[in-house]
Amino acid sequence: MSKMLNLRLGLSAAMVSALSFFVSYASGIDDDFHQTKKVDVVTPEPTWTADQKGHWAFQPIRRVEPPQVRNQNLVRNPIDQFVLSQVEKMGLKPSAEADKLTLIRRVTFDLTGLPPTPEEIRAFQADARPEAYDLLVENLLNRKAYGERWARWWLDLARYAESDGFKADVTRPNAWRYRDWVIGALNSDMPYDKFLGFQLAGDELAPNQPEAFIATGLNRHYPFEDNNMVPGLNRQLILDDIADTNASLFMGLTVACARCHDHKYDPISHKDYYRFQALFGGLVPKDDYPLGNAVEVALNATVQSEYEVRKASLEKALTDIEQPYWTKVLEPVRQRMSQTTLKALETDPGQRTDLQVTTIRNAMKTLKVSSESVVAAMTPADRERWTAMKGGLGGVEKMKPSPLPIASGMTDTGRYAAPVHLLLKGNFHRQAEVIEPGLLSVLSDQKQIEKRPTGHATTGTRTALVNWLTRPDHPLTSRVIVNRVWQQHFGRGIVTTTSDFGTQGMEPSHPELLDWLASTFMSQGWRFRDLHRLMVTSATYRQSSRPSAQAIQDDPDNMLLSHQTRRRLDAEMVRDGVLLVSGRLNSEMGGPSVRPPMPAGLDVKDWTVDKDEASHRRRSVYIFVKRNVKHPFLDAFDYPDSNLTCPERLVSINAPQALMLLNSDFSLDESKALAERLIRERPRGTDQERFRDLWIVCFSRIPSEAELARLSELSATLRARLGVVGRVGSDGLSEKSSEWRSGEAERAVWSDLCHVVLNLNEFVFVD
Amino acid sequence: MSSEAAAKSHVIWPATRREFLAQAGAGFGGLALGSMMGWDDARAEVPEIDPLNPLGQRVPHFAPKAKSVIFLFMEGGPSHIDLFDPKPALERWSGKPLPPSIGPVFTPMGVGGNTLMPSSRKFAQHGESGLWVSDWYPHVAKVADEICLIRSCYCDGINHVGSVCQMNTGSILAGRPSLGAWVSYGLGTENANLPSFVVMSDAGDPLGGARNWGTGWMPATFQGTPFRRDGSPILYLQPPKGSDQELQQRKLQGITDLDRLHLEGREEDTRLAARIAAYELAYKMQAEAPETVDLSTETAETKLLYGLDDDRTRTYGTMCLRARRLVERGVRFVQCYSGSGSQWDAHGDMEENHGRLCPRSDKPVSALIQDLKRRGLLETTLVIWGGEFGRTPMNEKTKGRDHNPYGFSMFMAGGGVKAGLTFGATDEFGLKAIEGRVHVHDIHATILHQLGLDHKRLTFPRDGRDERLTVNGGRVIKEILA
Repeated sequence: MSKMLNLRLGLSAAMVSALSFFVSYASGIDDDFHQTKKVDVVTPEPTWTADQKGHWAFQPIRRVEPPQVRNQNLVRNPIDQFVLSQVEKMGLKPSAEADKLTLIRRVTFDLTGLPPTPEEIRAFQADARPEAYDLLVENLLNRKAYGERWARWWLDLARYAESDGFKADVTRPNAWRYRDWVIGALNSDMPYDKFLGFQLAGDELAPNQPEAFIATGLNRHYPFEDNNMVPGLNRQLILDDIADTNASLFMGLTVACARCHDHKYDPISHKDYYRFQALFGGLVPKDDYPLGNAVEVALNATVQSEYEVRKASLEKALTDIEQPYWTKVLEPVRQRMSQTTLKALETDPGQRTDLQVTTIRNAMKTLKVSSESVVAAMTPADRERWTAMKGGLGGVEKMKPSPLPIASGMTDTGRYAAPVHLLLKGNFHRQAEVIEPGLLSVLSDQKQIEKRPTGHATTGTRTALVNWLTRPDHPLTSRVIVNRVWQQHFGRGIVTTTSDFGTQGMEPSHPELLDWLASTFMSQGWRFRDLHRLMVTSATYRQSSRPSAQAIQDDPDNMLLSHQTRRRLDAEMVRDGVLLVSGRLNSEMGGPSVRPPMPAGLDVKDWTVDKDEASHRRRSVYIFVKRNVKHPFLDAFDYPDSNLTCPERLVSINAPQALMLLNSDFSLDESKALAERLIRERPRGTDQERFRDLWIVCFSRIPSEAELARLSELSATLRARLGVVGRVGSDGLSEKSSEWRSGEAERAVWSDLCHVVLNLNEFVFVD
Repeated sequence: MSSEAAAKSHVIWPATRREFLAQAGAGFGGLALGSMMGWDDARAEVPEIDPLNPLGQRVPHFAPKAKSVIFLFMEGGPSHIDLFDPKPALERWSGKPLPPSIGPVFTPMGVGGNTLMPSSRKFAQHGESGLWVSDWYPHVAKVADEICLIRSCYCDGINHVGSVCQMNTGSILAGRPSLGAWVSYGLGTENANLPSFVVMSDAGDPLGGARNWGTGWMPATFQGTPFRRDGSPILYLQPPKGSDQELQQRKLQGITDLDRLHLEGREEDTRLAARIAAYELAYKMQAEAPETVDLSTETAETKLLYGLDDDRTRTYGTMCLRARRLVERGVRFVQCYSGSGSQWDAHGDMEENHGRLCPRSDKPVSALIQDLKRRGLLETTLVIWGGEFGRTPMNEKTKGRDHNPYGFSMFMAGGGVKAGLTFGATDEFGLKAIEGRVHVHDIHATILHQLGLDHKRLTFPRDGRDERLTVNGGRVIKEILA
C-alpha cells in the first residue's frame, strides 16, 4: 500500500519558504539530495598564551590623565593635551587655527553633510563672541540634517540595502523603516548602549515597542539568494553574514577568518566562531510586524483570525472532496515519477522544502496533471459541491482585513534555536559537533550562555551578548565606536584599521587618547552628541589643514595630527551639496525611499521612477538602495557595495567622476538652477557681485583677485562665443539693465560659469 | 609614516610626489583638437608606478606572456557535452539513469535521477591537433589548432548568479573585486586615454549586474567600464546636446585655471593635482573612445570575417571586433558577454536554445582569433571562452539539460598557452571533472600568471587580511602553458 500522495502545495510559496528556512534545517539534511556529511569529530580547542591574551585591544580601558604640554595656551580640551604632547615630542609645530570661513564649512559638512548657507556664514562671521563656534556646533548638532548625515555613516556599516541582491534582487518594501529609525535614534541622541542593544535584541529588550523591533532590521540586511535550493544553506550563509558583520561592526574583530580553522593571527578559535554565530542561531526574519496602536492591532488580528478560520474550514472541505480524485489522477502516472517526486508528494505539505515544492511543480507540468484534471475527474455531484465551495472562497477573501503598516526585522523562532554546527573548513556539507551559544573565549569565561527558563518567547542569547558588549569593562565596544567617529572627523582612525582591532590591524597612534575617549564616552552616558562636541570643539580639529614644511617632511601622513586633514567629500555630500547650492534640495524627511531617474539607456529592474519630480531632489540617504544597481552618481564617488559592511569609504579620483560632473543631466540641470538662483537673487547684479555670491554659496568664502580675474576672462570668452556682447545696444538694452542681465543669453553664460564651478576641486574637497 | 602603515592604508595615495605637479594640469590649450588624433604619445612604453596616476602602468611580478585579456563569456552555461566534450557512452546509457555508483547528484532543478541524454550533435576532430568540436561551432573548429581546450573545469555555485559572480570575482558571494579590477590594479593600463577594463554585452546586463566588473572593497578607479552598444560608448562621455567641443574645451580650461589657483599653498596634497589630471584624461577619452568603437575604417573583408553582414552575428561580431580594436590600443581587459541575462540556459530544449545561441557567437569568436593572429596580436592577447558552468548529461524536461558546476569545458587561445592542446577530462558521462581538475581559482591564477602576476603576491589589504583574487586557493595550470 503506497503512502498517501498529496499534490496540494498547501501553503503559499512565501510561507513554505519561511518554514523550510527553519524546518528543513532543524529536521536534518536530506541525504538523498545532498552530500552533507555529519562528521564525527570533536574539535580540540587551543588555550591562549599570555602573549595572545596580552594584545593591546584586549586589555582593560585605562582612565589616563591627560598629559601636560608646553603650549598649554593651545589647549581647548583634553584631546589637545594628548595630541599636542606627541606633536611637541616630535618637535613639530601645530598648524594655526583655521579661519572662521574654513571652520564653518568644515564643521557644517562634518555634522550635517551639507555646506553652510550664505545666511549662516554671515551670521557666524558677525558673531564676535568667544563662544560663537561652540554655539554653531550646538546648533548643527541639533539639526535634523545631523541625523541624516550620520545615519548614512551607520548604514554603510550596517550593509543597509532595500533588496535581496543575488539574481532576483527582490525588493524589501519595509527596509526603509530601519533607515528612519537610525536617523531618529541619532537625532534623539539615543545612548550607544541602547542603540546597539535595540539593533541586536530589540525584540527581547523591549518586546512591545515597534521601534525596538524595527531596530532589529540591522540583522535583516543580509543578502539573500531567493532561488537557493539547498535546504539549510541559506540559513548558514545568513548566519555567516550576521556573525561576521556584528563582530566587525561592534568589536572590530575579523572573526570570519575563524570560519574554516582557528584564526591564523588572533586568539579566536574555530569553535569560538561558531559559538559566536550560535548566539544568533534562533534568528528568523519577520517581515509582517504590525505597526499601529494596541486597539488597531488587536482588532485587525481578530478579523484576520476569523477570516483564517473560515478560509481554512472551506479549504479543508475542498481538500476532502479532492483527495480521492488526486489519488485517482496520480496513480496512473505514478510509474513515471522519480523517487524524488514521490518522496516530495508523500511529505506533508507543511513540511516540504523549497526544493520539494519546486520538484512537485515541475512534476505537475511534466506529467500534465493539474487542479483542472482533478476537477474533471470528479462525479457531477462532487464537482457541483466543489464549485460552490470554491465560489464561497471568493466571498471569504473579501473578509480579509486591509493590512496594517508592517515592519521587517528579526526575532527568534522560540526559546530553543536550531542547532549550529561547527563546519570543517567552513564547508556546509561537513558538519561536526553542535556548538552551544557562547562568548569569545579570549575575552570571556562564559563559553556557554545559560538556557532560559520556560515562559520566554526567545532564546535570550542576543540579550546576553548585548549585556556583555555594553559592560563598562568590555575592552572593545567603546574603543571601536569612538575610533569610528574619530575617523570621520579627522580623516583617519586612531586605529587606522577601524574594523580590525586584532593583531593584524594597526596599533593606535594615540593609545592613551583612545582610552580616554572611550572611558569619557561611557561615563557621559554613551552619547554621540557629547562625543562629536568633544572632538569638533578641540583645537586639534580646529587647526588649519595646511601642514608646516616640517610636518610635510617628518610626518607626511599626519599621523600626529599637527594639522587637520583635507578631505574629499563623500558621494552623498557632493550630490546633496550640489542640490543645496542650486537651491533645489528637497529637505523632506523620512518615509519610503525615492527612485530618481536612471541615466538613459540603463534598464533597471523594479525601478519605477517617482512621479513627483521634487522627490528626485531629496537627500541621497533617501534614494532607494538597490543591491545590484548602485546609483550611478553616488557609485562614481565611491559609494560602497552594500553586500558587506563598509567600515571606511575609499577615496578614488578618476576620469569617470569628471565625466559625471561634466556631462550628466544632473550636473547640467543643477548648474542651470544655480545660475537662475544667482540671477533671481540679484537681477541687476554686476559680474563682480555675482562672482562673490557664487563663491560664498559654493565655497563659503570671497573669491581672490586672481580668481575674479580668471572668472572675468572666462565670462568674456563665453559671452563672445554666444555673440552676446555684440548684441548690446542693437537690441536696445543697456548692458547694465536688469532685462539684459537676466535675459536668456546671460542665463546661458551663467549656467556655464556655474557648471565650471561645480566641477572645481574646491567643490569636492573640504579644507 | 612607516612603510607598514603605508601598506595598510586603504587610501591609494601612499606618498607625496612633488614632481607630479609639474605634469599635472598642463592645460587644455596644449591639447589642440588636431593633436587629438595622434595617440601614440599617450601610450607610455616605460612602466612606472605612479601613485598619482592610479592607472599608470605598473611593473608585473615577472615577464608577462600576455599584455591583454579578452574574456568571451557565454552567459547561462553552454553545454560542453554538445560542443567540446563528446561522450559516446551516453549513446549506450541513453534513457537510463546514472548508475548508483555515481552517488546522489544535486542540481537546481532536481534532475539527478533523470535519464541520460546523448548529444544530438555530430562531433569531428579538427586541424592537426585533432581537437573535437561539434557541428554547432563550425567556424571555431577552423581555428582548432589555436585553441587550448580545458575539459575539466569545475566551480562552487549551482545557480547562475553565484557562478557568474565566482567566474568574475572568485567567490559565489557578492562583494569582492572582479578579475578585470585585479588586473587593472596590478598592471594599470597601456593607454591612459581609454578605460583599462571594458565590458560589453549583447543584450542587457549579465545576472548580478555591475558587481561582475565592480571593485568590491577596492577603489572605484579599477572598475570595469561598460561600453554601450549604440551611440556614445561610455555613459556621460559626451555632453548631452547643445554643447559643442569648443565650449567644453573652454569650460575645461576654466576648471583647470581655477583649480591651479586653488592648488597654490596646497601643493603637498597630491589628490588635488590628480583630480586636475583626471579632467585631462576625461577630455582625451572623449575623443579616443568614440574612435575606438567606430568600425568605419575597417576593411570590408574584416567586417565579413566577423559576420557584420549577417543579422545573427552582427551584434556579437561588432563586440568582438571592438574588443580587438581595444586591445590593439592597449586596453588591458575586455569582456564580451554572449547571451547576457542567462540566455545559454537551455533547461527546456537544447536544440532550440543552443541552435539559436551557437551561431550568434561561432563566427565572431573564430574571426577574433584569426584576426588577432594575422595582426600578430594573438601572442600577447589571452582569449578565454566559457560560461559560468556546463550542463548535465541527464535530461531535463526530456529535451533540455540542467546546470552542471561539477564538470565543464572552457578554452583559451593565444597569450602563451599551448595551442592545439586538449587538457583534462570529465567522467564517461560528462558529469564530473575527474582528470586534471581545474577550479575557477586555478583559471584565475593562470590568467594572472600569463599577465606576469603572481596570484599570491597580488594582494589588497582589507580588515587585517591581505586579500587576493584566488581567496585561499588557486594553482597555475602549468600543464597548459607553452
